[in-house]
Amino acid sequence: MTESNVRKDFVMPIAVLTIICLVMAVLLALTNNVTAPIIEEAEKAAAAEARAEVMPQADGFEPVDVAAEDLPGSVIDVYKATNGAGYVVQLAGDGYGGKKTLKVIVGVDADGFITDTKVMSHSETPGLGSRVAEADFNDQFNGLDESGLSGIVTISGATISSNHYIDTVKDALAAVETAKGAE
Amino acid sequence: MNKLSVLTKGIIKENPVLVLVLGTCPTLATSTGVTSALGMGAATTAVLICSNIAISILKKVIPDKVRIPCYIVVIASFVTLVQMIVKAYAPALNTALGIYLPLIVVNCIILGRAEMFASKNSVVDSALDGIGMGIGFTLTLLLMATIREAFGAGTWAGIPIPVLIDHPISIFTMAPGGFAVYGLLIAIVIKLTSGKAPRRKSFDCEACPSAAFCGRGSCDDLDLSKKEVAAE
Amino acid sequence: MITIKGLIAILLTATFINNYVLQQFLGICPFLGVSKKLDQATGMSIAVIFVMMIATLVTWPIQTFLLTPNGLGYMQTIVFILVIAALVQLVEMVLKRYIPALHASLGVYLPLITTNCAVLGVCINNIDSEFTFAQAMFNAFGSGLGFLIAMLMFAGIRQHIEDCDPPESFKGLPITLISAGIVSISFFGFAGIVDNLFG
Repeated sequence: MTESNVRKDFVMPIAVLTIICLVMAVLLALTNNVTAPIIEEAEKAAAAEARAEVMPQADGFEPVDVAAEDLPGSVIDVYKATNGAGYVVQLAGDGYGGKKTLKVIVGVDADGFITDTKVMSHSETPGLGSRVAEADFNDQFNGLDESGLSGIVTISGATISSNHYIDTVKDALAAVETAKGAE
Repeated sequence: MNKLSVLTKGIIKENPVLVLVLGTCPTLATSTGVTSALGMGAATTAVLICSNIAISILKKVIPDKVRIPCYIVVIASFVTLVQMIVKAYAPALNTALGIYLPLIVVNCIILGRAEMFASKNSVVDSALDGIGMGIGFTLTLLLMATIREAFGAGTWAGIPIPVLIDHPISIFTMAPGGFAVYGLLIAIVIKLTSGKAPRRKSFDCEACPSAAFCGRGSCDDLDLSKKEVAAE
Repeated sequence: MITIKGLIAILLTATFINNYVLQQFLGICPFLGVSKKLDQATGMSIAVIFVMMIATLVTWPIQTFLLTPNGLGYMQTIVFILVIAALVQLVEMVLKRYIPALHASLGVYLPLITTNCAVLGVCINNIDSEFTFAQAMFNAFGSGLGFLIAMLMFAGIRQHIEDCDPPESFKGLPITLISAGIVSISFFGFAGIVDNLFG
């Protein structure tokens, strides 16, 4: 094999591929520098918006520091309203479509009554279990406390999804009790 | 080939989804709703145009031996760029498309056009080809999403449609509905073109860009090549 | 043993509920292309299981120990696809050299899997779901197993489609897609399986 062949068969392909990789990596790094702060901002804004939606009377939120082992397994985060209006709990409860797939955010006021609940994402059966995300079902929770949950009317054809939703909300109430005790 | 036909062939004559049958996965997965279909179409079109242009510019520089890895690097980079932009400026779309956004990188349409068109044609033609194919892909997704969302949820891009809203047939938005609507649309295209379109009779490697990796003409030959390997 | 129960739940969810082909539409190309004959369908599926597990074995540590700690999470797509492509090539070479018998039966399918969205899908899914390494491996195995089951069911059905006489326009791909839709309905039967077994 002549020297020019070696160059043509091995050096060039490797060199070109390496150069393309480097150029693209630099391009991506530059774009990332621009977009990363915007993405972070957008994520924060989306989370803040969801919290404000389930508890409009709060003026702002701060995370509550509670040991994970004291909370039900489904709880992701607990936030406290800075003006003392209540707590907001983010959870990933079990659903009919799988473990920890029913992601819900629940607002609970200072007296332990639910202000609002909202489904963030789920993998329930479309048309049946998915109706837990509809206002017809989850507006029933508004204004209830622990004892009121037994009166919830489940969705016909989706009793299991409904019960999972109720259990997840119960976890939220339990988490708020724990959070109150921790202060 | 004049410029106009390069642009328009992707929309009807060589429609990537219904005639060439490429990019089936995102077509089925993101045509559940009009909004996500449009988002997917726009993201794919953007990647397609950029990668077609880049590969056409680089076609003389890229050695034949490593062309596929080079294409993949270029395509993956543009997909990542689009991902960052969508995450930053349209977070709701990012949630709606989920895993299918990074998976644009393995959409056969993009690698297929790189291999079949951009690597052989001028920059302007490649850009036009990308635009045409992208529009063809987007319009087909939009058509499928319209059917699935209208019958499945009774809405169009979230706007309720009278009568249908009271009788949603939710199986349309579920997986089986996707397969069935796709099958019906292809059957209609075959009927309308009465075999004139370069129809793919079966789903083999002929138009599959991965054929470049496996170096085999058709998946039907798998048996044959197996014997060859065994004989070695 | 709560952890083993959890792992099996992940396995069953990946296999039946979130079946990659029939519910999530990933890996449609090989599903439609290589399901004509039962032996090809089996070979392809076993190759997919194999590659999914090896890909997870490599991409999970890359993401967890290399990309995330260095703030390079945005390089995920590009790194994963290149790693998977290189890995498939490497596995093919190793098999050819050391286990020729296995290469004879799986080798032809391996290159087909390089740009298979199901494989990349599993790797990204493992990261998005914040799985631990063990959970990721079970998810990969379950996803591959789901692919195998879907392929076997569909190969059986396709042999019957060949004997049918559908309208001219439906011959070939359209009738195949509609059959796939019907097969995917059958997977709805599994929807509550994990919930009922491990609830």
